[in-house]
This record gives sequence, C-alpha cells and structure tokens, in this order.
Amino acid sequence: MLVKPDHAHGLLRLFSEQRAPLNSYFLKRTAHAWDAQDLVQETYLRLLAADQHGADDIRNPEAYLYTIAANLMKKHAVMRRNTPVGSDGLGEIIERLTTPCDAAAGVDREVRRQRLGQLIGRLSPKCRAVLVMHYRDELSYREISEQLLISASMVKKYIVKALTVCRQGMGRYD
Amino acid sequence: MTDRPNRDFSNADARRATEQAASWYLDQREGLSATDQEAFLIWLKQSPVHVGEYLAIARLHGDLKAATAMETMSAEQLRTLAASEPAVVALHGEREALFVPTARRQRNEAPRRGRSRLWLAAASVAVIGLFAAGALLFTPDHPRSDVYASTITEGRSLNLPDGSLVQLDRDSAIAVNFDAQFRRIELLHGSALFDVGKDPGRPLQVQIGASMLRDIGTVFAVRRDNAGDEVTVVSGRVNVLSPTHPWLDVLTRRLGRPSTPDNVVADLGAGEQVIIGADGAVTASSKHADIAQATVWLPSIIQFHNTTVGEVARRFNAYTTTPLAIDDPQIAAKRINGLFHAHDVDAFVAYLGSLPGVQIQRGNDRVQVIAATTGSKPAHHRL
Repeated sequence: MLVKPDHAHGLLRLFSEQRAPLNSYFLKRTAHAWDAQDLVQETYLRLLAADQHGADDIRNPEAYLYTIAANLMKKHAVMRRNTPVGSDGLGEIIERLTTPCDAAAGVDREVRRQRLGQLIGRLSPKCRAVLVMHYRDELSYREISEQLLISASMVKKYIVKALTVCRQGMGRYD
Repeated sequence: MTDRPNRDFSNADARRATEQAASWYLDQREGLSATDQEAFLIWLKQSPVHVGEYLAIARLHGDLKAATAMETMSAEQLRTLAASEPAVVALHGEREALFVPTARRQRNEAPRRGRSRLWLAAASVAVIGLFAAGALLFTPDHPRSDVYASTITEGRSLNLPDGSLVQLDRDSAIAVNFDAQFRRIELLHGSALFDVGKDPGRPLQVQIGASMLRDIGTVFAVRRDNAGDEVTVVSGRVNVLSPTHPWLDVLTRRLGRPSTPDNVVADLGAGEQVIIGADGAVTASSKHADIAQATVWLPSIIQFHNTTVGEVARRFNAYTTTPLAIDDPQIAAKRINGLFHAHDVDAFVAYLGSLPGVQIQRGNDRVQVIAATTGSKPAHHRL
C-alpha cells in the first residue's frame, strides 16, 4: 500500500476509508501519552486552522483528527531520532511511529492492560458486565440489552460510564 | 452585580469531558449523519481538553479487547452479577445536559463600615476642631463601603456595578466604595486581581495600606503582605501614589477637586511589579515580573457556557501581558461555549480566529479581534 507524495491527504483518505485496520495500527503506537499537553495542544491548533481554512473538507472529523495526530507523531518521532523519514510508504510511516522503543512499548502496554483489567474488576456489576460482553464477547448493544433486560440506550450509557471510569482511573498513568 | 466562586477544574468537570468523549467515540463507531459530524467537530473545537480526551478514549478502546480478555467470569456469571445490582442508577452523561451553569453563591453582603471609615470618622473629629470646612465631611450622603470577602477554601469573582471585574484569592477581602465622583476600593487583606471598567470621569483608586494606586484602564494584581505589599501590572498602566493625609484627601474630594496631588512614586506598565513598604516607599521593583507567579492563585481552567466573547476575553486578560481587544460590538456579544487552560491564551485566540466572521491581528502589546474581511482564505493549510 503506497502513499502519494502528499502523504497528508493520502493518510486522510486511508483513515477515512479504511478506518478499522488503520485505527488498530494507529493505536499500537505507545511512545507518546496522549496526556502530553504539547501534542494535544498542537493537534488542537491544527484542527482549528484546518477547519477555518477548509471547513468544507472536513466531512469526517475523526479521520481528520487522527491524521493530524499521526502527522505530529511522525514529526516528533523524526525529531527524536534526528533522521529523515522517506515519505513514500505508509507502512514505513506507521512502522516509524510504532517502533521507536518497541521493546519498552511492549512492556508498557502490558502494564497498562494489567491496570486496566484491575479497573474493570472494580466497576459496578452492570458496567462491568456490559463492558466485558461488548469488548470481549463482541456483542452488540441490542444483544446485550436482550441478555440483561435493559434498553439498548442504557447499554450504551453503561459503556460510556465504564469507559469514563477506566479513562479516569488510568489518569496520567499512561 | 454577579458573583461566583472560583473553583479549579473539578473532578466533576473532568469526568464530564471524558463522558462526552466516550459518548462521541461510541457514536462514531455506529456512524454519524453529516449534521452530527458537524456537531462533533464543534465539540472538538470547544476545547483542547476535548481533543485530548477523545484521543485518550480512542487509545483506551484499543486496549480494551486485550484487557477484557483477562476477565475470568463467563457471560452467564456476568449476567447473574448484573442482575444482583438492585436499581438502575441515574447516569449523567447526556450531551445535552453537560453544561450546567455555575451555581451562584449567595452574596455574602454584610455591608458594614470598613475600618478605614471608622478611622476617617475619627480623623474627621480632629479636623472639625481645626477647620470649619470640616462640616463638609459629614454630609449625609456620605457613602458607605461594601465589604466582600472570600472564604479560606474558595476564591471569589465579583462583577462590580461599573463593569470592573475583581477576582479575590482565598481568604481575601476588599471594601468597595463608589460614588458619583470616585470609585474607591481598599484591599483589606489577601490578594486581588482588578480588571478595571472604563469610566474616565470617575477614576478608580485602590488603597493598599498607606498607598494609593491610580488606574488608567488596566488589569493588575495586588497582594497584601507584612513584608511589603506587592503590585503587579498585567496590562495597561498603574500609578502608585505616596500616602496622603486621609482628611486632606476627603476634604479635596468634597470640594470637587482632583483626588490627590501628583505624588507618584511609581509609574508601572505591563509586566512591571513593585513592593511597597509600610511607609509607602518602594522597596523593590522589577521590569519583567513573573506574571504567572503573581497570579498563581487564579483558576487554572477557564470554562464558559453561553457566555459572550467579550466577557470570556476579559477573563483571559487576567493572565496575559498582551490582552485581547475586541472593539467590534457584534463579535463581543457573540455567545460561545468552551473549556481552556487559563494560561494558554493562544489556544483561545486560535479558537476565536476559527469562528466565522472573525479575524485576529497580533500587535506588540495587544491582540486585536476584528471582523473578517470576506474572501481572504489562505489557499493552503497544514494538516
């Protein structure tokens, strides 16, 4: 899979059209915590600038956001390693994003998941059941609602609640 | 007058931002209409915190498959567990109900004669013996001071009737005394930040200890301290006047003359700071004060809901030596929602610049927010 020289727009298209595989790629990178204020800050400013100058283009804000973030991570990765990145292959970009400290990243990821597992264990019974059924057993809101005898919109609310508790529990830890 | 307590970004606020992010993230997985995508973009633009939380949730989402795989309970056991939870707990996570206006605290009015007034009264008695003009001091419309105090645990924000905005640090108090000719405020103890409303015909004077500050359209911070009172100018200009005899001051004022002779001991511009001793003499001064340090007690987050651009800009102006100037009344009256780090004025400026019809011009001493000239969109932008 090749990206054209203007890889920014290539990335955007890929994030828009092939969300799932690219998302998982994207989320593998662990070199940066998203709490890193400067990165969030810069992402925010670029999002504003992009919206201001080309509001019509942003039909998929999420893909836009990921694209901006990925480009910034790439820039930071380049700065860290002080080596130029060839701009011809998406695979290469993703590779560079995810590999700066892959061994450490692996350990880090494992620690993070352990902690996340503990947080899930401490959720309220319904939150915990809904979250596990959704992510582990891959059940839809509808399927979960039938099993637990609650509405599908309540299922979603429990997932929101569970995600919020987990996110807050991870805090600046990740 | 409005009055609200200053709290830092609370856990409840943080949780709300995360809940919104999680809710949007799930909505994205289900697919959104063009209108919803627009609403999502507006939400992202409202705050760097929203952007950060959204990316954090995306990352969390990526870890959840692996993390939930460690769960040892079967689906059946989970069902039983869920059924054991008695009642459905009300969840607050609805996007619509996310911004609740800050509850207004009852104003702790307690107007009383300030100590300075008692002192003045005592001084006046002496004056009577000396001057027949002393009668002037006892005209019945003699104004009283209103005292505003914050608690030990919480600061306070005051909008005074003249449009001035005063932020009180915890455990601080001011006495406010406005009449037709003068606006006088005395800092009784603690720290306060003044963002002075424009009223050229009625100068504002702030008394700290024996000294008087005369303001010329400004944001400045004052801290009372036994080791010396500290005055820091964030933007604009402030004159520090040496002590005068209170009775002379009152007398000249009653006679309708300018408040005080020009006994200026310091003329401070943006970023300058002085320490004043008990006798009114300047004991230390700095041309480049640490503004962040002087205002460290101000709230670190600025959150606003359905608030005018003008009002929000003033809140940010407490934190920057290059204040936002909004001369266009239409822009100033525009109502906005958002959540920003108070010391990150640049993000807010960028947000303002992204609003339709708004353009930003950066000057050396201020940032001008003006109406956009149409059709001047740059051809390229960085993604």
